This record gives sequence, structure tokens and C-alpha cells, in this order.
Amino acid sequence: MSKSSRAQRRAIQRKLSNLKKGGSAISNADLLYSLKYVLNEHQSDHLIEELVDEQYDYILGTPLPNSFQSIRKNGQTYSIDNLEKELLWYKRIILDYQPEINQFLLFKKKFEIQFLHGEYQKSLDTLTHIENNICFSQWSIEKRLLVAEYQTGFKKNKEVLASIISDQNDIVVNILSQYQSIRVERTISHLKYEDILDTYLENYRKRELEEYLLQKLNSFSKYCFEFPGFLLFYENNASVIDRYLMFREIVLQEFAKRNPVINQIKLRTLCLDIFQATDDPVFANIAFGLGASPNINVTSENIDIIRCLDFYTKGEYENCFNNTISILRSNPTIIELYEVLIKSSVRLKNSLKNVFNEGTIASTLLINLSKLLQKEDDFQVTWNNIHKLISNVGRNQWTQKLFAVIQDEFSSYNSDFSNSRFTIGYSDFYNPLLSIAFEERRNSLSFLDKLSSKITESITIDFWMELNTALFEKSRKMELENKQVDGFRGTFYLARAFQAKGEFETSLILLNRLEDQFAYDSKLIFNRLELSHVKSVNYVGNKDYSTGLEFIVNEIIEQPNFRHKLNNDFLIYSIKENEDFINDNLITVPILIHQMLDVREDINSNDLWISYDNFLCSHGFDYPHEIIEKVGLFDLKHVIYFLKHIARQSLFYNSYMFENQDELDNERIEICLRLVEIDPENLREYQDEISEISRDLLIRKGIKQIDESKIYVDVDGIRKTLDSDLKESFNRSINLVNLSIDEIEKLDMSSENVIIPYFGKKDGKQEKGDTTNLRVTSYSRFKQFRDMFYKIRDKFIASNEFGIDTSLSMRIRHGTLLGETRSVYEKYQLVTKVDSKSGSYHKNEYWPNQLNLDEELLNEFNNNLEKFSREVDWISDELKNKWLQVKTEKKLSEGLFDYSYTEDELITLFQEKYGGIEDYYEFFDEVISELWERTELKLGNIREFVSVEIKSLNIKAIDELSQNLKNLIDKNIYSGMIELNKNIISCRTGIDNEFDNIARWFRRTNNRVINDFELDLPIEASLRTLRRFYPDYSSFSPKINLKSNVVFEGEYFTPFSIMLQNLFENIIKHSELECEKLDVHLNAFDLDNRFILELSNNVSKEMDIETRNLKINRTREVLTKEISELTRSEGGTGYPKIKKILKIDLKDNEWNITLSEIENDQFIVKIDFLVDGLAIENDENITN
Amino acid sequence: MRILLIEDDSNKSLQILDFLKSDEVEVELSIEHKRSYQSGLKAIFTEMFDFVLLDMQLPTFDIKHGEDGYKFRELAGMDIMHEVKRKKKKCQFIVITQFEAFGEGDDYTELEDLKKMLIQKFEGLYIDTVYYNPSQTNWKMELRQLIENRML
Repeated sequence: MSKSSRAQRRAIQRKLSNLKKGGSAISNADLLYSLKYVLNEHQSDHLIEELVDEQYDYILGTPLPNSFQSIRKNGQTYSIDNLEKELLWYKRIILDYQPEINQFLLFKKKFEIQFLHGEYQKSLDTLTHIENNICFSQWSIEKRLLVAEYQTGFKKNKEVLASIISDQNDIVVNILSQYQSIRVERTISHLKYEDILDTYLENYRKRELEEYLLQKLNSFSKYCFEFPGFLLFYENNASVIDRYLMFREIVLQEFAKRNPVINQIKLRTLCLDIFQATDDPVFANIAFGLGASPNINVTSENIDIIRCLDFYTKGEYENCFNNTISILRSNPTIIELYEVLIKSSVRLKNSLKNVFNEGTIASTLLINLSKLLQKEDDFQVTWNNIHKLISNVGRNQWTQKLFAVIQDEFSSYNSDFSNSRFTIGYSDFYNPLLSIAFEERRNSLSFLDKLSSKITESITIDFWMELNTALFEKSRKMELENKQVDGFRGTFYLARAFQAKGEFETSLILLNRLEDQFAYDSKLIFNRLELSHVKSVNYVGNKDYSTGLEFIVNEIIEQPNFRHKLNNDFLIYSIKENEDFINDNLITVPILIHQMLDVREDINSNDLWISYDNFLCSHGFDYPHEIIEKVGLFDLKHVIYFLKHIARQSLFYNSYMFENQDELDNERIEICLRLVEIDPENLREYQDEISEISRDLLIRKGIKQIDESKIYVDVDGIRKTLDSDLKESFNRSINLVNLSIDEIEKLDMSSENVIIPYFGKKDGKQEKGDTTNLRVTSYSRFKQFRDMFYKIRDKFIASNEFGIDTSLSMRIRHGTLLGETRSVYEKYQLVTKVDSKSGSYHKNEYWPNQLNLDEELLNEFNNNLEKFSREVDWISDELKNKWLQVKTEKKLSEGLFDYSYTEDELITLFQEKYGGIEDYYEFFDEVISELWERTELKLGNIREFVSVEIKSLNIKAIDELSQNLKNLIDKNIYSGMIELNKNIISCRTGIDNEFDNIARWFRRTNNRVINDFELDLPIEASLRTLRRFYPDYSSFSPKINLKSNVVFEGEYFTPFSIMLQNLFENIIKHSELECEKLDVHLNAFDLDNRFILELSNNVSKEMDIETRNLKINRTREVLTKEISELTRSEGGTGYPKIKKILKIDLKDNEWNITLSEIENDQFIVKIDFLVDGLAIENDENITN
Repeated sequence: MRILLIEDDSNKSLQILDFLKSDEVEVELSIEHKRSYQSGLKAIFTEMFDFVLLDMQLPTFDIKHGEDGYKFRELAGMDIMHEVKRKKKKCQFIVITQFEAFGEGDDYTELEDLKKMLIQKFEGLYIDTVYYNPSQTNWKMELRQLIENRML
């Protein structure tokens, strides 16, 4: 003993002695600290003997709590991470409580068997027995919650939790119980649970504590814990059950680490000591692995397990099957036997149906494992099911083995930790397979020797001995001498042994021979996976990279579920690093990258793009479809895979060869067409994809068409309405042409301008300035011209049915304009909506959450954002209500659609253009032409106004907001300000583009891209537009039931789209429900030459139904009246506009709109109209 | 000296173009302007420029009548430099950005860190980053300095 150590002990003894004399006391925590960490084992022993009862009780904590409240009382000291000291301290406790621990291990096994058999009441009785006869523990809390959830469900789980949680409990007990209760919920996915737990753990700044909670609450999330000493320190005041379980895991972890913290000899001694006291096979397993050879007791169950493995090794599947079932029925926790049972059943074609009682966990587990091993159903679903179960149950021996089984589906190597050593070491029986997990072969052989002395004549033990010997003696010629071993299995393991020795080529030869000799076994899916894995490693080990690459790619093409296991680190790394030995021109490179996309976290779509582009460039292809021209250079199945899965729009968009989305889609269509030729088996799939893309292209064209047809006048409609009236006036005016000057003077005595000169027509043309053709006419005739002109003009601009103001109202001012501009601001969370009741703006909830402002700043912040919302809405309102209005000499306004004509202007027009026209139709067309000319002129002004004036008003408002917020909030204090500034700048660019886009609406175009369509097209077009306008409703998806094959004429696409947009928008605006709560159904069908649309939606339960029904009734009344000014007013429900569409645009006088009053929170609107005249004839071809 | 400006914000483009054409810059410049990842990248690969003034965030395609530019690329500038580096095209970049930070969550990067990262990742391609603030004139001085240095 060193001087300093003696001094330490004396100092503590002095303090203890002082305490006894009533002097200044050493605190219990100090005392425990010294005993655990300062003194050596011997000194601590010596000192502990001197402790008074109260001190002894404290340092011991409460190893055997008799209630939940007494868990974790006393027994804690200052935080430290000293693994070796902790292990020694734990050993002391374990040895002291050896009987209780042994009893616990016995009943724990009983509990687990009962649980897997679905004997929940019995398992609860076992838990009660453990609590009453050993102690309460966090372990038993967790199991009570688990049984409650599995026996009865969520409610019972929470009832049990409520009965456990108490103010009297240690806080850690409550926290652990709460999260254990969530973890055992059967309906929560393990990923969701991890999210919940992660959110909670974010509160912990101390990483050690965070790790402790992770170990207790989600131990499978981490292979190897960083602070094992701290974990033991923190568990030191738990029950002896919890302490033992934590101790066992930490020791196992040390054993499985490739660079352990603890000296291996010390660890071995520790394990031997614990094994002597507990007979827990886990500690014997570890001791064997560390070079010891403890004397072991092999149970009869252990012998039975080895016999089953023997039957399997020999290929005696019938015996194996029957014996395995018998063992598993008495102990369903032996996961190794599930695999043996499943593989035997496949060979025998036996059913696994009645192995366990239906509905038990063991039965579900067997089904899932069978699916996993045979790659049935969806791999990921099965994998998740098993992961979910082990997550619910938490770590124990059988869940750890299960975890290893699902992990084995992946090819992964952890350079710090051997998962297989951890798992096999965790075994509660002696398994010969453990021998391969040891680093030292001599330890493996020693273990197998010991086992064979207990279990004689085991072919399995002999077989592993042979393999281990062959591996251990490097110079020894390897061949399988044991002829009893099943030929396939023997050769396969031999090939693996060669691989382990680095003799890859020999291994490959053996595997190829094996595939020839044992074709049936080689094709069994689980064997094939193993074979493929070993082969792929051999190719790479043998530096035959391109063959390995091709082999892996081919195997995964045939069996996509092999992709996890055939994930080869070296190949992927080499591809990513662009190593020379992997050639860019190999088509297999992008294919492998694609296959690994959802397997590896280090592979992303950019890697795929690079490998794809490198491949195309190396062959001189600009576009992927060009590969077909050189299809002979490649394996056809590779070309198909490449074109089918990789050459898609999601990659093309990185290429500068494509200039817009249509080009991306057209290239994909081109590829699908080629795929139809080279892969006719999947013809239907490609045809469906082509249809889907074509439809998408068409919808985009449709939306573009709607955008381009915002400025619309129904000239034919005007002509038909005015014809009879105008023709008469026009003919009368023509009669005036032939009057003499005298007659004209008499006619116009009351006027100053009695004679109007004009240019007549010469050779059919009226030419201005040609004096030889100068004529005069009466002012009366001019007046008649003026009246006719005004009549046409007024209809052109203001007709409720046909005029430009109606289309402006329906296609721009009603919702569309505000929707477009607001959607940009809403995307960046910069504006809020107005509360319809109070008229004030809702508070912005997003940014205050991000910024965490104090109250004063928050008020100022809210004021700024509210002011901003008001300002941008004001700009839109001004644009809509003031500037995007029609102006005439009678209707004076600031409207930019200025159609006012002064008398002088009209005289000029008459003189130069109209005076000489003698044909009514020519006259009408010329007036319309003049009006379009004026329209074009004004549209130019409006485009300029929107893209400059209105845009700059918005930009100014954004800049002001930005400056005000910068002045108000210091980004160095509130880091969220950087994100807010970023959003403001992005919004500024978005608005900049948006107003350029809006300005483009103001063009007169007559492009018709949709020649014919079915109703699904305008439905989708209108929904997409609304999703863009209402970012909060971006997932708005009514359930559409379309039962009609009616194909409509293309000209009706825009009115249909606008009508449907109005109908859907009403739901968004008036249902008072958030998107996810909306339940909207649209039934559309044709019947007896009528088309029927039935749209139903739910409304908020909070809605004032009486007031809303009053409004519905008012709308009904409006609909009975003639098309009125209401068509050109904004706001409201838009039903007058729908009526106008039905009556005028769809030319139906027998339309019906039936609005039902709201009942049972449901609103229904039914619209029907005549199909005749709208649909194309049946025998016409559909051209789109 | 031939310069390519890749910038989608018309106001910012206008400011930069006006400045580059003004007397404040004593170098004769011929400037081409592109407005998206695609058109910018195409110009780089099909023409020759002395350097590129590059915005970080861009739409994939030019926004045209009835088209929304497809996916908006948060780090389009970086994507462009990646492509240029990968295809070993000779070109140099000055990033000109209004943002003080980029990306979200784990990808969140502040401007100064971004500069360091760009120097590291795009050695020989990347010249510097100019922080553009429409209400200040610092960016003009920095940009002029960088351009004049290129001339030396």
C-alpha cells in the first residue's frame, strides 16, 4: 500500500471516528464517494466493517425496495465516470445479493416464456411474485406497463402508469415510467417513439445523463455507450435487479468492444467471480472469450437445443422440425431455433401454422421471421414489425438475438464494436456458434472442448471444432473431413473459412462448385442470400471489381430485398471517390448507386446524378434515350433497369440540356416508349406512366391556358345580342349617305357641326388623306355612328354576359389576384389572415415561436407584421378595386382599362375609318377591331403598371418591414432573426417574380391548347391552382368519384375550370375548417344527356349554422334573378358567377344549381346542365 | 472582359448591371445575364467567361410565361460550382448574395462559414463572396475591387 493511499484511508477513518464522537461529520455522500472511488477494494472492505448501521444503509442505497416509492432512495454520491471502480463496487453488491439475483433470473425467464405465450395473467402473477419475494424495480414497472398494453391495450397501460406515478417517487422513476409507457404502446412506430424521446432528451445538456436515459429507454438505438462508468454510477441507487441488468450489459459491452477500456484479465476475473456466484451463462461466455475455462453446468434444455442443431447440421430436417417445435413450445425465447425451424419447414414444405397458439407474440414472431428469411411480402414492413416488437419489450436476451437477426439483413461492419460477440455472449445457453465470435481461436477451441465434454457426440460441436482448427492453423490444408455434415452446409462454411483466411479465389471455386452440386439448396432464398453475400465479398477481396459490381447489381435486380445484405462498403467508397479501377462507362455504377439509395445514409440523389451523368458523358450521350442506339453494348436487363428506374425527371433536372418541365416530361415519355419496345412484359406499366405524364402535361397546359385567357370578350355573344338593333340603325345611317348638302343642312339645323367630312372608299378601301375621295355627310349620320359605337363598346366592356369587365371580375379580381400574391407572402409566413368576425388580423404564430421574444418586443413585432399584412392587402385591394377597373367617359374612375372616347376622337374615327363602310358586318368587325386595339394599348400600360408600380409598392413594403424588424430585434441576441431575414429576402425575390407573372396575365391571347378533355382535367387544374393560392391547403384533396366518359370540347376547358375552382374555393373559404379536417366528396356523372356534379363537404361544428343558412337562402334568391351586376362584383360565394358560366359560357338555359341548407354539419351543392353542344360527338377522335 | 451574371431577382440584377456598366467600374465589361440554374450552367459550358457573378438561390429553369421555374434550388450556386468542378471546366466565380445564412437544420451555414467552405471545396474556382444589400453601397466597392484585381 502506498503512503498516500494509507493517508487517505486514515483521513476517512478519522472523520468517521469524529462522527461517532458527535464531531464534524463526513457526509454519507462523501463517504460513499471515498469508498467507491478513492480507496482500493481491500481498504473499502476494511472500512465498511467499521460503519454504523445508518451509514451502511446509506451507502448500500435501497437494493431491495418494497414499493415503487422506495426505489432509488439513498445510495448516491457525486458524479464520476470511472468504469473500473464502478464494476468493482457493483461486484460487491452482486455478491452480497447473490440469492436474490439468482431467484430473479429464474423468475425473469418464467415471465418471458409466459409473455411470449400470451399468458398475460400468469406473467403478471410472476411479476407480483418477483415484487413480493425479491423486490420492486424499474424492470418490473416496465414489464407491468408492457403486459397491460399487450393484454388490454393503451387505456390499461395508462391506468397502470397512473397507479405507479407519484409525488412520493424518485423523479427518475417517474420519468423512466412515463417514457417506458410510451415505448410499449403497440400503435406507435419505433421511429415515432424515437422522435418523442429525442425531443425530450434535447432538454439534457449533460451528455452522460442523456446517455443514461437512452440506455434505459431506447437501448437498441446505440451499439456502444460512451460513458459506461457514468451509467453504472447513475444506476447505483436503483434496485439490485436494475443494477444487475445494467452491470451485465456494461460488462458485455466491454467484451464486445474492439478496444475495451478495462484490462481483459481484470474483466475475466470479474466475470469468473460473478459466474461463480450466479451461474449466469453470460458471464461464462465472456470468460471463455477472454481465455478462461470455467466449469459449466449444462442444462437438459441446453442439450436438447444442441441436439436440434445437430439434426439440422446433418440435414435431418424431419427430426429437426419436430424436436425444435417441442423445445420452442416449452421455451419460445430461444430465437436461434426459430431460424432452424423455418429453414427446416421450407425443406419439408411443412406449415408453421400450429406451432404456437394463434395470436400469441411467439406466433406473430415466427410468422414475421419466416417472411423475413424468405423475403416474403414487403421486406421493410416485416423488418419494422420485428423492430417494433423488440422496441416495445426492451433489451433482454431474446430481443437482443432478434435485433441481431434483423441487423444481419444488412451488411455492416462496426470498427469499434462486435455486435455478434455482444449477441452470442448474451446467450442464456451454451451455443457452439459462440466459438466464431472470439478473437482468439484457442479460446474458441477451449470453449468447444469444454462443451463437448458436457455434450458428447455432437456433430455441431465437432463441425465448429474442425472449422476453428482449420482457421487457427494457418498452414493446414482445409477440407471438410466430417462426412456427416450436410453437404451444402459443410461446403458453404468451408468457403467462408477460406474467405476468412483471405483465400478468395479458392472460396469462389468452392461456392461455384457448391451451386452446381447443390442446385436446390443454393436456390433456397435464405441460402442464396448468404451465398451471394459471400461471393460478392470474394470478388471484391480478389480485386475483381467490375465482376463483383456486376454480380451484386444482377443479384439485386433479381431479388431487390438482397440490397441491404449486398451493400459493399469498399465498392461504394471507390465509386464515390472516383477511383480509377471503377470505370465511369460501366452502366452498373449508376445502377448500384440507385440500388443503395435507401440502404446507405452516405448515398444521396446527387451521387446518383453524378454516376448517371458520368456514364452518359463517357458514351457521348446527351439524352438518356440515346442509350437505345447503342443497346448492344450493354446487358439488356441493365439498360431496362437504367431507363426504368434511373433515367427519370428527378435526375434530368440537374442537366442543362433541358430547358423546362415539359422537356423533362417529354424525355421521360420518349424513354417509356423505348421501354415498351425492349421490355414488353411491363408494357402496361409504361403505358400507365405515359398516360400519367401526358395528363400532367395537359393539366399544366390547361392552367397556362386559363392564365392566358383571363382577358376575354365573347364577341359572338355581343354580335348576336346587338345584331337586330344595330342592323336597323346602320341601314338607316346608310340612307343618309345619299342626301344632298341642302337636305343635310335642313336635317341638322340645331347643330353647329352640320356637315361632317369623311374619306369614302375607293377600290374597297378607305384611305385617309386621299382628297379625291373626300366626302361629306350629315351630323345625324355621325350621331348614329356614335350611338352604334357606344352600344358595341358598352357591351364589349360591361356586358354581364360577354364583356371584358365580367371576365376581369371572374378570372382576375375574384380571388385569383389576391390568391397569387398572398400565396408568396404566406409561403414565408409573413402575412396572416383577417378574422372574419373581428376584422382584425390573426397574430402571426410562426415567427414568435422561432424568435422567443420577450413580451415587449413581441408586441412591437406583432404590430409590425400586422401593419405589413394590412399594407400588402391594401395594395392588392387598390389594384383590384381602383386600377383594374373599366373607365369610360360616363363611368369616371382611375381604372386603367380606359375605354372613354371623346366626341373629337369619334369624329376622327368616323372620318378616317368608318364613314365609308356600307356593310353592317364590316362595320361591326371594325368597331370590335378598334376596341381590341384600345384594349391592347391599355393592356400594355397595365403590364407596365403591375410589373413596375405595383411591384415596387410591394417591394417597398417588404423593405420597410425588413428595416423595421432589423431595428427592433438584434440578430446577435435572437438568432432566429437570421432565418427571418432570409425569408424576407426570399419573399422579396418571390414577389418580384410573381408580379412579373401577374403582369403577363394582361395579354390578349387566343391560344387553345386543350382540344378536348374529360372532366378530371379541369378538376385537377382547379385543385392545383387552389393549392398554390392557399399554402395551408396544399394537401387539399377532395375524394373524386367521376363516372362519365363524356369528352368535352376544348373551348369549355376554361369555364369548367373556373366553375370548379369557385366551388372548391367556397369550401376552403367558408367551411371554417383546417385542411386536414375537411372531408370533401365530388360525385360527377352523366345521366339522360345531363351532367351532374354533387359536391358535399363538412363544416366546422363551431359554425353559426343559422346565419350561414340565411346566407345560403339569400344566394338561392339571387340565383333566381337575371344575370346581374353581381356577376361583376367580387367577394361572396361566387355562385352568380357559376350561374353566368352555366348560362352564357356553357350556353345552357336549363341549368340547375341546388344549394342545400347545412344539416348535420354537411353542406351539399348540386349542379346539373345539358351535355348537348358541349361534348364532342362520339365518333370524333380525341386529339389530346 | 466577359462576365456572366446568374441572378433571378430582377431588381438585384438591375442594380448590379447598372453598376457594372457605370463609370464607377473602370474596366470595359461585356456582360451576359442568365436567370436560372439551367440557363446559367448552359452558358458556362457553351461559352467562355472571365468570371461568373453567381447568386446562391435560383429556380431550376428560367421563369417564363405560364411556367414557374420548376423546383427552387436553395443552393443552386453551389450546385453550379460542383458541376463546373466535376467536369473540370475552367471558370471562376464571385458569389453575390443577399443572405446572411443558408440551408436549414443540420445544413444551416452562416455566410462567413460558407465562404470558408467554398474556399476549401472550390479551390481555384471560387474567388470570393460579396454580401449584397440594396440599401448600402459596400457591395459595389467590394465587387469593383474584386473585378479590378482580376485585371491585374
